[in-house]
Amino acid sequence: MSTLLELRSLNRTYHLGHATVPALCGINLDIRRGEMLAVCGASGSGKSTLLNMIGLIDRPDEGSLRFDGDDTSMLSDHALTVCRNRKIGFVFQAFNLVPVFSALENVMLPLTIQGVPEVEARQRAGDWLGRVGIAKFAHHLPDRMSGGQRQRVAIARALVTQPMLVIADEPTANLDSANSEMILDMLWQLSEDSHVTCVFATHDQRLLVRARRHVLMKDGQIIDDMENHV
Amino acid sequence: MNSVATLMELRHTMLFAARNLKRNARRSVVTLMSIAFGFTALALFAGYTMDVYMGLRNQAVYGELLGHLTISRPDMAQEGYLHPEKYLLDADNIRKIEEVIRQISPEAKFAPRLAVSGMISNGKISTIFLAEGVAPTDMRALRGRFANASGTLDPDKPTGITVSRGLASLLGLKEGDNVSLLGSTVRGQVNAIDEEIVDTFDTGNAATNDKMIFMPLTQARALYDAEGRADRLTVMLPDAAQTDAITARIVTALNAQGLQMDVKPWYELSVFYRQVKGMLNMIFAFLFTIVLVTSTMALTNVISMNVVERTREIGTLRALGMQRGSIIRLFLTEVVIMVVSGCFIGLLLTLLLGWGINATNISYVPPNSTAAVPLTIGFDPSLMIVISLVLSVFGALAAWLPTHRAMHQPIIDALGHV
Repeated sequence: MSTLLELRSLNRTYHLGHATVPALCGINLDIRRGEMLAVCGASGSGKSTLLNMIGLIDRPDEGSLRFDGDDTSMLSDHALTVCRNRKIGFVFQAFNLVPVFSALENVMLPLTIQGVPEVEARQRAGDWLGRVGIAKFAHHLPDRMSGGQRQRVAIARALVTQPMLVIADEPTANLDSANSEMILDMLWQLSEDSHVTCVFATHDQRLLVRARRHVLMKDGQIIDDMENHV
Repeated sequence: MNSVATLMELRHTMLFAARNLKRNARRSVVTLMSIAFGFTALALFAGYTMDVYMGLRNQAVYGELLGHLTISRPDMAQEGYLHPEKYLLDADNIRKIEEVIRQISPEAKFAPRLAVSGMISNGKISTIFLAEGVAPTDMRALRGRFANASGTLDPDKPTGITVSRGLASLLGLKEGDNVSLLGSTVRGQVNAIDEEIVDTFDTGNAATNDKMIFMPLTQARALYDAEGRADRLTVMLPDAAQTDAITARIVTALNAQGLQMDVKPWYELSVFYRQVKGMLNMIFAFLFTIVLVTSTMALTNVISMNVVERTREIGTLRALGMQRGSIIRLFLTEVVIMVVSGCFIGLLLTLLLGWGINATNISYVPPNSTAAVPLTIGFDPSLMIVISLVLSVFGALAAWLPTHRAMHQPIIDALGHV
């Protein structure tokens, strides 16, 4: 498998008032296409910061990050935004659905941003809602749906553009165990079926056992990087 | 981006914005109604002033017989009283000016005028008068659709004059009475003529209602001993909107004939019109400023609250690949929807209230006026469009600042916003 992401000597420091907090220190990491990678570690270890870097929603202070062959430090904000829209899907811990849009419209949103014609966007979004098993909730607003249903909408929204990479930050943290199992199955299956690279941060042991590769972080550094034979 | 994609984005933005406004319905409605009431206040006042200007214009053009244009020698108004001989137009001047006007506007009506003043007596008591000498047929032509209004001279009565009601009351005059007018000639000698009262009229102005007279031009010339002469010429154009354009052409044509003349439009000569218009425009500007500030502050407040409440949503949209400009456009669209809807509701309220006010026949006595006038509300579409556009522009500016600030917040901070 070829490399989708190359992270070299990545540093990121946050400034909180007069204090500086090193969030990432000298991160070196290669992520291959189609890989399912779990980033784990204690709270404050730098998992989310690493995912933000990989998802191109934050920039490193030092080091380089190549995504799909492009040096992202050379890309403008506009180009990074286009890249996120076309190549990356996000699944957030709090779902982050747009409350005024129905499930279908939420899934259509990345396609609408891309400029995909409405009829096609509606068709593709409807297909994905079917694949995540909530086609009958297509016209429901998020506040009329359960947490598990909302996260399934979020997964459909992340995958509808057929991205190269899906970033999921604690995707099961706000779900009960039954819904967590269902979401885990779905993420794993979709990753297997569509060969999309999937990087997620989690504390959830059930999610960890499904990932083929584990990256363990502590104090902003990778302290272990191991293959997991599922 | 091609036009189909642009339309699609516009439609999507409109839909998104409308739903966001519905999300905070109470807040949106309060803001929208504040815009609607502000618009209504401005539109009603603008409609009222429009009717006032129209009334004053008619009073100046037809009532005061200023016509659309007045032609006189330069500085006639300042120096003519002291040196009448020097500033009066002779028959040759009048003929040349008439030819010029006929060439430029063949349908224009044209009237030589002569203002005289002196003492009027009923045989027992006397008081001062100010008289306008004008040929009765010319007066009817100048008054146009108001030709049958009170005070118009009678062409069949060559010595018949009309006097203002205040003056008639002062001297106990009525139709058919005879009076003597005493004045000085153009060379400063005393002269007197006898006249018959044929009608009375109201000048509408307390300052002139006790001294104003209209008299036939021949009688004014006789009193002033200025046969064939006039102090100015009044021109009534077929289309008032052409006043400025024709003024310029007449000046050019007169200069080409070697005639140095002042050609002034009616609105420069009607001091009362200018003063009232200046005052009402100032009040309108003051009101407009208040409404603009209030509306802008209300919109700034609403958009700032919306931006803060939707910070995480903004972060999500940015993460999903929506460009900063598109999100700014979204918030601007919300403002424009509120302003346009507010103005539309304001328009309906204006029509309703305007109709109601006009139907109740309210009247009032304006300052320095001799009679009550009806309070009427007109409809000024051009000004309403200007009000809507200005409110939209200021609303957009009000939305731009908080939105722009939010757009430059790092995405991770926006996503972490609680």
